[in-house]
Amino acid sequence: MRPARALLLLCLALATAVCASTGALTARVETLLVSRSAATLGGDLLLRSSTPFAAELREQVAQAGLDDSLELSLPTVAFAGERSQLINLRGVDAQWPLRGSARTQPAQSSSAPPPGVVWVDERLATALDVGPGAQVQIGRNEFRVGAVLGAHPGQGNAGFSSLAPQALLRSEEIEAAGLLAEGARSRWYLYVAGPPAAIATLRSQAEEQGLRAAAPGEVRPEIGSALQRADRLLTLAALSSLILLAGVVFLLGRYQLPSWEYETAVLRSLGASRRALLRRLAWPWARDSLFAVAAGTALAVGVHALIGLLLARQQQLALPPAPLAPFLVAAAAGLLLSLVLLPHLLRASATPPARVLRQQHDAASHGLLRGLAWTLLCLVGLSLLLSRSLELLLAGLGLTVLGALLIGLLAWGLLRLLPPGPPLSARGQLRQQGAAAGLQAGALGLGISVLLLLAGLQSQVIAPWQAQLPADAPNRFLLNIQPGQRDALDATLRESGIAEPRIMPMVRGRLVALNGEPVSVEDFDDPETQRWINRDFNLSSAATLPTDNRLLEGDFWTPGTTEALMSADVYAVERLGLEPGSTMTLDVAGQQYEYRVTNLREVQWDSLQPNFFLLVPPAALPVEQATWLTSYYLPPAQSALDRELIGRFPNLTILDLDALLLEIRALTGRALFALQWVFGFTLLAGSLLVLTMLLASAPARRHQAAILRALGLARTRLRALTLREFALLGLLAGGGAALAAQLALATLAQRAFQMPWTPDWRLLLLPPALALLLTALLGWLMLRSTTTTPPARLLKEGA
Amino acid sequence: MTRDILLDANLVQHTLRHGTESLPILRGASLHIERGESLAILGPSGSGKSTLLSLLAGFESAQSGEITLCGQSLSGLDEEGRAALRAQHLGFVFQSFALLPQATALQNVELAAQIAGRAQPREKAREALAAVGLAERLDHRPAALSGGEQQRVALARAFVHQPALILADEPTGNLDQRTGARIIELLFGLNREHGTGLLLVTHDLALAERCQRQLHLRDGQLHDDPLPAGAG
Repeated sequence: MRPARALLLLCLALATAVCASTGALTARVETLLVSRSAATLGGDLLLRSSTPFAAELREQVAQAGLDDSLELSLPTVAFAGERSQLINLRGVDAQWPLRGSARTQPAQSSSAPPPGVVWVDERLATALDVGPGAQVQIGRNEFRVGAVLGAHPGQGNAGFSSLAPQALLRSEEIEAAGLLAEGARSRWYLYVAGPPAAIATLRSQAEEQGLRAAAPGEVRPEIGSALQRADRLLTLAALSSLILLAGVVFLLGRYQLPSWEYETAVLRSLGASRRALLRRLAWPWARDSLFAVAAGTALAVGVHALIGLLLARQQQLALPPAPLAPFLVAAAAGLLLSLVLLPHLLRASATPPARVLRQQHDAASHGLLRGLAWTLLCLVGLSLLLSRSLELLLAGLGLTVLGALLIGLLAWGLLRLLPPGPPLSARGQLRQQGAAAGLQAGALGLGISVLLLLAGLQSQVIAPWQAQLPADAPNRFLLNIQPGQRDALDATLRESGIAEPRIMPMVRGRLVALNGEPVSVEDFDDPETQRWINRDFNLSSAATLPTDNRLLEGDFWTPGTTEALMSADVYAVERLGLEPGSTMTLDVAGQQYEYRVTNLREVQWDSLQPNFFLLVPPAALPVEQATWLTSYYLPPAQSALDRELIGRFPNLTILDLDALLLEIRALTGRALFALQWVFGFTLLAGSLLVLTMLLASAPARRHQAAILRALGLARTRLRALTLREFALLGLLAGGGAALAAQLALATLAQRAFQMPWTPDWRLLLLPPALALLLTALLGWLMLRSTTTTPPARLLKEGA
Repeated sequence: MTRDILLDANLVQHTLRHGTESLPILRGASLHIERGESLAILGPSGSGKSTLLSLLAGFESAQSGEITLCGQSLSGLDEEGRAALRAQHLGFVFQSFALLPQATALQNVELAAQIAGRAQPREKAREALAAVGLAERLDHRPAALSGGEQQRVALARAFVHQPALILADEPTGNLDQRTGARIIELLFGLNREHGTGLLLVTHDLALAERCQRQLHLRDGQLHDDPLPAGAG
């Protein structure tokens, strides 16, 4: 097989494999997260109501062929001996849960508690000092504790009330215990599960009836947005591979154009029609493209099985099966990439027959711009196909082109630092090639540097950043601190060694007017804003700008001000269209307060400190309506403090963030793992580009080899010279890549993570070694075709 | 006598084979050239001139017959040995100039001296280029030089390591008449000055007549007499 054809096949297959792998991986992780969220939610859809659901709704559910499970919950008090505790009591039916399962200690055979049995969570077990087998009184009835509940579906569905200790029993027991008296703050939840289309129909019907609905993705928005970011990063990585591969197809077109033109000219001179010529040129191209795309898809299926296997083994993550759609999109992307060749084929088919007489080719720059413009257009098509985002393409193009240029320049700079060698030395050979050597180093180095960037990101930025997290990062959140408890709590925390706890007030208010105009849900189109408006806003106060906040516009007020001013975070600014001077009217416990926005700020949420979208000066907060909250770091050895706090302040809600931190770290690890694979493809794409450049330069190299051999250079010396030249190219590309990656990491560490930077010498030395290996391989591939060129061909050239 | 003979070819035979077909090119060609002598080989296109030159230079091995260069038989040498012999004793001038496009004039000439293992190759290259009148164009790449200048670089490269024999393949074939004449002057001047043997392959009779001897390649053999009238 001719090398150009082999390269085209490889290139298209790789492009298809890259798109299919990334697309399918994102889809699989998304499916996994949705199903995990569904397990957290307890169903595919959750309907909430403060009154019992209408019988019609249950009928609609049944008619749609959906499964349902009803839960009734209310706050009440549980007693055990002398002890009592305010709890959130949840009554479920035998179908509960529709998705996921409850973890219990000891493990239970039934998915829901049987009649007469209550399952209590750990906090309740601690507060009442009870375990399995103990008796607990709820309402007028006694229940046997069947198990202690761990993580379970629906845990966070009730918002703040679900933060209280929980007890789970059969819903019919609630009425029997006499808890449904008038004035009980009962809430009803209907869990529904079934096919997505039927769920969507039911949801819109329920919302029309004024019920509040939640789907799995909406319950864990922070994971949803993390996935979106990971998806964008993966697409960006895939696009950078595609940009390099588009470069390969483009170069292959340029390389083959002269021979296509010559062939066309000869056939034209013999009388062939343009249509026949176009068919002759296009058929092998179409056939090869289809074959390569099919092979790439098969490769992606294989790679996917492997990724799934590795994820399962290394990350203990079982992915759901991959859907078909990403593979179809990838096949379309592979075919679209093959279209980069089209202008070359069209141009070749239009070659005039007179070319046979002249046997010369137009200047290399002829048609170059048109070809490049078409390639860019194909890339636009590809990025729209993959992400519907031109922004990503621009980012990809910028990163790829600038990255390759930077690495090329660095490599070139390193070469200039070396003393100039004689013409028959690796240095002399590379210097003679000038910009071409720089470009080859750039293309190769780019793939290596992204791999390095990733390795460095993990070892030099993320790991140290995570390591420093426990020092500052709070792992406990205390909510629902009553005004009278504030000082006592502050003293208790200080006594336990927690220095300067930031205890902040929180007032809940509903937005009633913006800039003096009344507002309601209908005034906003964005569903997220509508949901936000529908809830109470949490308002807090600060005398000075919190240290983990950054002022974007306006001035923060001076401490001691009594004016009704407001500081808004970018989230609120974007949702509500706020700007300095806007006014917001909030209804707090029936009374309206108007605040004037004086500054906009950005909160660094990952500090895990208490923070608020909206802040006002302390004197302007209706503090009589406030509860307080705080966060702090509790060393594992002091976990007994949780129990002590609950004992002293039973109404407190303690959020243990250790699990969340673990999940954040696991997610980061998984995203990096997937990225490593995709960046491996970028390295392959870079190598293919270098191979194509070498192929394009092969005639010149063969010519040079023939001259050198005619002058008496032994083949062994020619071989050694070629290998040394490639080895030096590898060292330079690797060196350039290492410098570029360290530069990027230093910028990232200092700008994005505010971390001091120390270079990792291993990452400076490893890439040149890796690049050396790669180029030695490429050089070896080139040896056969160049060093065996007989010098006798020079005798025929001039004839 | 052996000492004075630079190149001696005796009954050289060579046949091109393509599949089952074979085409005899050389059928017992013989020649010799002495130190300081100039010899022209004439012949029409397709007569086998390039093949003969290729065998004389050791680019390829003759299928039968004997070729001796500076007292060493080529048939007893492998490819590496032939290359080493070429590097020491031969200089080349090609019709297509055969310069490395990415290397400067100086680098192109320096290469030959370096391959031959001469001391101070760069200095020698400078001198050789100065000798052909290109002292001012050392750092120019071939694309920036005229055809005549390129062939002068090629001449400097052929002489730089002071070979015993120069093989020239249609050295003026790609040049206009005036430029070609200048190159020929230079070639013969260097031939006289250095006492170098010169073997020219050409179909230019005027050029051939400037050589001390002429041989005609006809039917795969070399003849002293010119082409018989009417033989094509």
